[in-house]
Amino acid sequence: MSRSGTFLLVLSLGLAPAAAALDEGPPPTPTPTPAAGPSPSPQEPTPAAPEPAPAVPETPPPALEPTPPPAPTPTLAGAAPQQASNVLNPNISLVGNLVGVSGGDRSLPDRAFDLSELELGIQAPIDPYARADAFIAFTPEGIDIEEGYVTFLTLARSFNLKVGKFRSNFGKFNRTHPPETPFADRPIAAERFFGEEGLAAVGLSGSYLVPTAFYLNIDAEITTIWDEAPLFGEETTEGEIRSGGRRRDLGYLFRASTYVDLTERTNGTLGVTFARGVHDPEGELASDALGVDFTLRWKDPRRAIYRSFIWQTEGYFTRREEDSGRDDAFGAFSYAEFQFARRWRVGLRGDYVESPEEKGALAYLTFWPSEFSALSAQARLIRRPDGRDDYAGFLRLTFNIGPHGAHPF
Amino acid sequence: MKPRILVAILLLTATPLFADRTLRVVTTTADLASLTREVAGNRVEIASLAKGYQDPHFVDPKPSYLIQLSRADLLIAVGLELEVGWLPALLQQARNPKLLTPTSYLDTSTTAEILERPREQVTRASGDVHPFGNPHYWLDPDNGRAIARAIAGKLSALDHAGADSYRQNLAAFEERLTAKEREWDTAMAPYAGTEIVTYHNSWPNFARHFKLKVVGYVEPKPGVPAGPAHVGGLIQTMRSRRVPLLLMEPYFDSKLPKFIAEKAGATLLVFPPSVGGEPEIKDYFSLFDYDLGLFVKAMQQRK
Repeated sequence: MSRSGTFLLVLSLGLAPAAAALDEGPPPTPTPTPAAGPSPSPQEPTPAAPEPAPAVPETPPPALEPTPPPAPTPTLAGAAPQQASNVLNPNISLVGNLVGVSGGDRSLPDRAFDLSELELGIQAPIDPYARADAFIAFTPEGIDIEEGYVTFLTLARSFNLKVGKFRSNFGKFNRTHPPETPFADRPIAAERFFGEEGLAAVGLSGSYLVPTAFYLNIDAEITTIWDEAPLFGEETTEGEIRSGGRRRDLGYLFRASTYVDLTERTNGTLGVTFARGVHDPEGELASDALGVDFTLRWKDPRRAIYRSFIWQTEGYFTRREEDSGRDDAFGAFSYAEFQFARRWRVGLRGDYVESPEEKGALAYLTFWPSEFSALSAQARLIRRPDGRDDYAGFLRLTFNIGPHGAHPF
Repeated sequence: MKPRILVAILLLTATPLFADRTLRVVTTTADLASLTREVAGNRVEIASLAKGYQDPHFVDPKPSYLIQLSRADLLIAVGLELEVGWLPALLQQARNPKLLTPTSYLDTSTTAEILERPREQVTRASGDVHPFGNPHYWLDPDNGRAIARAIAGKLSALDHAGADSYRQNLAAFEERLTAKEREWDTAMAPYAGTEIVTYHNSWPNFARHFKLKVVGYVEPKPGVPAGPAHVGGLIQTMRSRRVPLLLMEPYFDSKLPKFIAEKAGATLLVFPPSVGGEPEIKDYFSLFDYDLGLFVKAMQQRK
């Protein structure tokens, strides 16, 4: 840490600055966040309530209002005239990820600095039955539809159906958009099996909250074969990954996850995911991935903004049918992050993947001026399959403007 | 694999809904739960998501809350974006279509008197400003009355058979509240005009009702930690105006407020803004009993 960093640390320890209180949850925003549904809800952009709330007189006769004042609805009638045209606009947000790289690791970009991603999010209810979410990534490689899907909210109790392109529900890490992960890179195992961007595909995703006394959630997805995922494709001569299969070959994914409050401060999440698809152009050779994920969180709700701890581990067991036989490989990563002051977090990640074997470690220190920006210094060491050690340093600035959508806990 | 998954989904979604007819009400805060209890008695099941000792701006959207929300018949929220950091995330995942309709959703800010509605454009450059007004409005007992009425109206609409009972409970609550208000106002009358400093801007409705004057905040902007210049200026203001009390919400770190109070010669009071903020604050009435008790005692000791 530089001298100015030390100075900031001293300042922050003494004067207790802001921090993100929600680990993966949406940051508390002073601006409207995408509505949970097409309903009047507190996050709807409702300009100054139409009816002036009357001061309650001294002791009026208790009387029930037969029709209580309706919750604010984003109708033109209820909107201030000059803002009426904005009320029904979707929520727009932008997440930027600026990364600087140093060190001799040849797998990383050549340039010292890169605006590695600008992610534009556009989100709104479509009608009383569904909502739409789109995330478009602008990267040095071009423009990419990261996600774009419609969620049907009212099909059945405890059930949602998502249709479109989305990040697959494989483990917990895969669904997090790259700029919102705590890391400047991706865990080796996730990148080796699922690619630089993680698993994403076009199709259907159903999610069911099982009505039991404890939390149990089941997800099932039927999609195209995952784009650019090495496990589910073949490498072309240009070094690109071509997804396996023909038009009728689909990818199937099934996930069960459970959550438990161990104490008021500590909780755990456990998930198991299975995904299957083909990887060859003829669609004859199958690939399977079994994922196990475990997350432990600690936070004192009485001091929510000052201290927190998270430990997350994901392991992937993969199997790839080849003409010559079967190819099994295991990979995993585990990271722990400790928020030791209101604005400061320190983290450590370990990586392992086999055949060929690679090991790595990433350490980082992140400063959060507010919940909407973070500056992180990270150092990484990877022992390559040939025994070479690759060192890399990262400097990363992430910022977020607008009401970025809610992320899963 | 395919057909099996579909059959599983169909079977699971066909599970019959719970048969009993007790209304299930979920409130975002313990204050709303207490007011609901006053109106509903034991007729409904009430669960509050945030605890009274938690900062209601920063609540983790834990999956265990989803279980409560997925079964709820009515959700009651403070609104004005107090819960914007966590409630939308929960509602989106709760998969309870009922809560997406105005019938089963009550935002009590629509019936209460709201202060500090910004007149100009709000951006995050001003910190965590609530663009639709100050959301801590339940801290004026008159607003408590308005909230209770709205809840009674909502419950009666959802449960016609209970309407009489809700009306009676509401009348009893209002009568008791009126008597209590007289008591509180009398106790606070000698301190009308007292200048105070608070940590977060949680107390405008409280200050207005009890005729106090908030002259500064420990936070330079809502949600933004103080720097040395702000702290110095605040201490100076408090000294020159002889501000007797600094109020802080229990979920903040007391180190800085202690330092400021000491330098400024003020008394620091840990002032819970919600029911459950201290074990003895069991309902909406004891919230004011507790806070006003602290206030009066501190003022008497300063004499």
